Amino acid sequence: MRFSRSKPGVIVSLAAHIGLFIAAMTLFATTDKFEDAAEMIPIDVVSDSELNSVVKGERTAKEVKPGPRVDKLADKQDTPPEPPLNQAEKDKPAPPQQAQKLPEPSSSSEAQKLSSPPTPEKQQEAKTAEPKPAPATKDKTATEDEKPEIEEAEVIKPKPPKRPKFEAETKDITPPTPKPPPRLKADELAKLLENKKKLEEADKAEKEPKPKSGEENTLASKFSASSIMNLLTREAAQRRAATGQELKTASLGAPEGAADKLSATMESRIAAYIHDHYHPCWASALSLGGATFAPVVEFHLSREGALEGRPQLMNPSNNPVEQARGEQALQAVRRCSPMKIPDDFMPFYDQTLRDITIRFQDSH
Amino acid sequence: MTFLLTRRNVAQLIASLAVTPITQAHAGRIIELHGGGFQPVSIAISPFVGDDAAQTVTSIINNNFKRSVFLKPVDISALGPNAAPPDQRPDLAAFKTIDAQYVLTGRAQRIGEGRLKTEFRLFDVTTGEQISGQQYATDSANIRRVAHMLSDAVFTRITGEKGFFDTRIVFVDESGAKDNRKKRLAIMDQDGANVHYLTHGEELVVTPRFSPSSQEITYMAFSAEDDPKVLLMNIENSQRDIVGNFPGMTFSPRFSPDGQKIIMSLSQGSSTNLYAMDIRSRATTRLTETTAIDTSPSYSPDGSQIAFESDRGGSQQIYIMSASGGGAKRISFGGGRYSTPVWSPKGDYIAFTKQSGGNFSIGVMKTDGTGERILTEGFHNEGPTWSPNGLFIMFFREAGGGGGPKIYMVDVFGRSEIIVPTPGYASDPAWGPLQG
Repeated sequence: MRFSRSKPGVIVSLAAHIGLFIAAMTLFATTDKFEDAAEMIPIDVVSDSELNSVVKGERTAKEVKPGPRVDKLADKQDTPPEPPLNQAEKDKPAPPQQAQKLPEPSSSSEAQKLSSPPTPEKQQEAKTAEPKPAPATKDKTATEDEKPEIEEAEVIKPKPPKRPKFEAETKDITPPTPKPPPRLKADELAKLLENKKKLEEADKAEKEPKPKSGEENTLASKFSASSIMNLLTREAAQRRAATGQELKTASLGAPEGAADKLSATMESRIAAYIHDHYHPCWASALSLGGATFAPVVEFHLSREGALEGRPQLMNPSNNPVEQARGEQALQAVRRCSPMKIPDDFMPFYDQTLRDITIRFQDSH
Repeated sequence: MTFLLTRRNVAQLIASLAVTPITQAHAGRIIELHGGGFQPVSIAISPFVGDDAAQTVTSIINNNFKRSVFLKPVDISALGPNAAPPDQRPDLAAFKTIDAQYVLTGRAQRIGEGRLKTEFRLFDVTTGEQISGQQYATDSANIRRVAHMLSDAVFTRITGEKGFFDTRIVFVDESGAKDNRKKRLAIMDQDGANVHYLTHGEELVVTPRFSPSSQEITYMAFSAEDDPKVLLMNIENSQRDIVGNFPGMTFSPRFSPDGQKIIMSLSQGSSTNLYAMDIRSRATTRLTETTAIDTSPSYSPDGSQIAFESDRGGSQQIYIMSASGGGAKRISFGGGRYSTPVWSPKGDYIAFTKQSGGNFSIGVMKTDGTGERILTEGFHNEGPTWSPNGLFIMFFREAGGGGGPKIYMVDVFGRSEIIVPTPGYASDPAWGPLQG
């Protein structure tokens, strides 16, 4: 490529571009930077004097009484709330569903109350809600016979069975089921212990020499939650009586003090004997659906092996299947009582046979 | 040593505190007594007094308890006829001698105008207390139902479980030669009484299913002219409807627990999938979408899940999926093929038919597939159906040798098996709900 003077356009154009470039470089080099945008933060300026006047108050102002607290407002309501139940009332088990008057077998049926299942009203309601069968009486002929009516196999037309009508005369003559003993709650247990302690102290006062001054306090200081059940069981108290300072206190155990003679082998023998005695009476027929529930029954035997008082279910339930299972466990104890106590077990009667607790479990 | 207060620690601490009242109270002194095997509760049924109705009621109750597995009527003939008069406390000492745990006394007599009055009292022999008693008044024609209701009341009081005596069974009655057998739908009481026929036998019927909430049944019917179809029948008035009108074969229907839907199989081409149909709106929902055969669906009692059989893994096995479909999970892993899963009304077990080693068995397994227990085994056992209280399973059995099927009943532990009387051969039983 050659430059020609007769054609200066290229040179002019080149010069113009160079000049323009230099001018642009000069101008941009001198342009001011953009200012950084400052974030707007609203502030209030409070002077020292103003700050002091905020808390100063005025002598002539009226006294401002504090308003009622929110939680106190309830006191001003028209209907005062009911006083809180004590713990024992809160924990009272719900009454059984059929808690109705127990009629004696010889009493008349007029005194009997309406049954729960099946309620005749429901029968009638259900009946009205459903379409009435066309042949209303056909199936009744079959109801009298025990055997299936093969003759009716001849009948071609379908015979819908009619739902029977039950009148409101259906009555429940179910006696109320005995209330399960309520579970002992903490305060009830404390009350029980308190009563038991009072009784024991009364016994001590009569039978035992009075402890030296200050020993009551010592005993009281020894009273703890862990010793609660020891107080409830004579055996535990008996064992405890063999140690330390408590020898001076009233013994809850047998006078012969056989606790220390009970070997582990003998204890196992007696437990096995009790197990084998009550085992035949424990039916597992009711384990269906309630197999996870194992009723625990506590009962007392006399020295002759007879049942003293009523066996008690220690873990009553509201579940019908578990209730039935609990009843079966109680029945098992009653059915297998009395239990003949072998002579060689008698020295350990107080420790192992007077109070017995069995957990009735499902078969393996 | 540091102690980390984790959630687990807190849970263990709370759990230990919760069991304290029993375990601490009797620490080391509780005798653990395990059940010594199955032993039914013994009950002495004193003959009801009254007119001839009393004898009928006593007989039905006796028969019910004999079949109940869990109650065992004891012979009271040694005590004489007046051991337990109905209006007096029975001589409980005498009943102890025959090892009765409970005594049932009662009265049944007609009181004019076709009316029947029935009452009973139940005594605990060990305490001597009356623990239950009820009185019924109804039309004399309902004498069997009264006896069944009375049986249910006693059964429930003793076991804590719901009864099952006042229930009905729908089944397929089979008659005629084996190569030309006539199959009719029939209904009867659970003890085999009161048989009625619901269809005429002009078409073959299989897999009837009771609605849990109404007097309706659904079943599959087919004839030489028509494709197999699922029908809905009201057993009160025999009115029938076709369930859905699908281009294909529908079969294996079953109601949802609320009775509002029917779930069934629809076969199209080489694949069979599950569909649910709302009975009222007839709206249909497809639940599975495979090229395999999905059939025999059964809802869980809460309606949230469906058990069904499928060969999607190569052989017939039981699967569980959500009631809305999807996410099927296989639960049967034992040897053999599993079919006809039926969810227990209690929700704890799934009953099934198992084909293995040339035998057909009826069994139950937990809903996660564990704890499989075979209840009965033989040449051909099939079609399990649960009693409404979830304690029994009814099924049909063919012994082989050219005979026909009969219906049997077994308890959920397989302890006792009894035959259910039917007029002839019978198959495909379906247990209905308590009528009470």
